[in-house]
Amino acid sequence: MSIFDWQFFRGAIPTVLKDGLLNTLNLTIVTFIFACLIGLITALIKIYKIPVLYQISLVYVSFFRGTPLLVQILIFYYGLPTILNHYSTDYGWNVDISKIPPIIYMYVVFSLCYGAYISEVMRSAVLSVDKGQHEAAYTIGMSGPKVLSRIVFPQALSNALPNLGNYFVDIVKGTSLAFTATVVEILASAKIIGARDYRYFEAYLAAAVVYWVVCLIFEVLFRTVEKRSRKYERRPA
Amino acid sequence: MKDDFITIRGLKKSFGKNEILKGVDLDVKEGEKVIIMGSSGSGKSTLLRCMNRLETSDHGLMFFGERQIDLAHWLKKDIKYVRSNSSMVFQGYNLFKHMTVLENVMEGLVQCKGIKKLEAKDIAIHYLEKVGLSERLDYYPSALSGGQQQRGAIARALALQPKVVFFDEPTSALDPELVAEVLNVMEKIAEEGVTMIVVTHEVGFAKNIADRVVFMDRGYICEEGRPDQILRYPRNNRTKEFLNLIA
Ligand SMILES: Nc1ncnc2c1ncn2[C@@H]1O[C@H](COP(=O)(O)OP(=O)(O)OP(=O)(O)O)[C@@H](O)[C@H]1O
Ligand SMILES: [Mg+2]
Repeated sequence: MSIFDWQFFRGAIPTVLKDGLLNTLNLTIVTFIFACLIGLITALIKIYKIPVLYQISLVYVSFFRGTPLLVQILIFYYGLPTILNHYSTDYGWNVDISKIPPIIYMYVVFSLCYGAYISEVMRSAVLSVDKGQHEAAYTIGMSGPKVLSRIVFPQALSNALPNLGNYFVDIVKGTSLAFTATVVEILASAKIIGARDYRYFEAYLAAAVVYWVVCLIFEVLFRTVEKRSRKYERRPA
Repeated sequence: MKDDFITIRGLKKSFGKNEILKGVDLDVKEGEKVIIMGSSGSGKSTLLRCMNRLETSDHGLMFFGERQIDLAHWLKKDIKYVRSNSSMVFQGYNLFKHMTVLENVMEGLVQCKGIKKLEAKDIAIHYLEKVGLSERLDYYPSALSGGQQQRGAIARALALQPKVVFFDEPTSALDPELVAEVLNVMEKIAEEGVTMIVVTHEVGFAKNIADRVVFMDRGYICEEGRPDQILRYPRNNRTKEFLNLIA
């Protein structure tokens, strides 16, 4: 057996793409969308210091930032079904918990985890919008929610984009932990084909290359979006 | 001139322990141009901002058009009423950064007055022509000079056809050579009947347009009167000092 089997490596890449890429992208994008929503809501709760919700959001952010994602995954993947099972028999819900696909649990735990990180991004992005912008909006007769949606959020979003782009790439890489919950994403599919011929090195390297390329593509994408969203800050030549 | 459009009685406002407004009474008639002067920190901005509820007040009563408003306890509907019948021009322009000049002027028309986009665009262009910005409709604020931004902000304020426009030192942040273009625009709109309450230290401008000049000192109105009299023959010592300082 040679140290490195090129043939195998080259064959592994399309297999990893075919078997794993879809789940990786799926989990990444769903997580990103929900994490942004959760992050924004948490940020607003913190900024406006809404009673009760404020204390809850402090604990929430602190917990998910203060514990490893892997531990959170294990808690949700093994703990949540047990609890659900318990209640479903108690209340006669009549749902078969074992039929819930594992990726659903991953949506929940990933969104909560990254939502906690992104809430800090959203908070500083919203706070970075100049007070004068709010005031001008009020004086033309805008209601509070409209001031947020029409004036503050668009400006905050373009402030947040570089950080959001970083978190997006973080999520892509983070989804590799979902293999512990039997989700067949890039890493899991590499592991499977590696196990077939004991070619782990080639298989994992193939996975790394795929991750790298995916991350590069999204980095370029985010940079382009960011540039376009900041066109209003540039002075024309 | 018609009846008083705005009447304020006993307006008091503190920031923490500092009492900034110590009981201000002010009457403004419909269509009147009132200039407010006074040294830095005397409470001019705070007075304007208490009138459109950018600041809350501790005490006071305001009649605004038909409405009687307890300035210490604004009702939601009164805030809405005052803000939809007034607008404000800021020292720092505060054009919405992510919108072109045209979009800035259209924003309030479409979002707050419910005017259809096409019609709002015509109205916006009309006002932007009036302030001399018809060549710059699609520019973002960052691409404009301070004077152009401020003229855009004036168009945004006027397009809503408010009863009153508050100006808070609209030319103080401008380079000297840009002050005149903004003052010219303001003199032009002053002829059109809108009520204007302007904080400024531009004595020449005050002489040209003011019906009345109000001097503030340490939280009170210390003297007021017609511009030709008060600017030339002030009686109050603080007014005299202040006029000497800016002359
Ligand atoms: N948000 C605030 N918090 C605390 N103090 C404030 C606040 N806004 C204004 N002040 C204080 O209130 C006083 C009056 O301020 P104001 O801005 O009304 O003065 P002004 O007459 O407009 O002065 P200027 O000519 O410098 O604009 C100042 O001493 C200022 O420091
Ligand atoms: Mg001021």
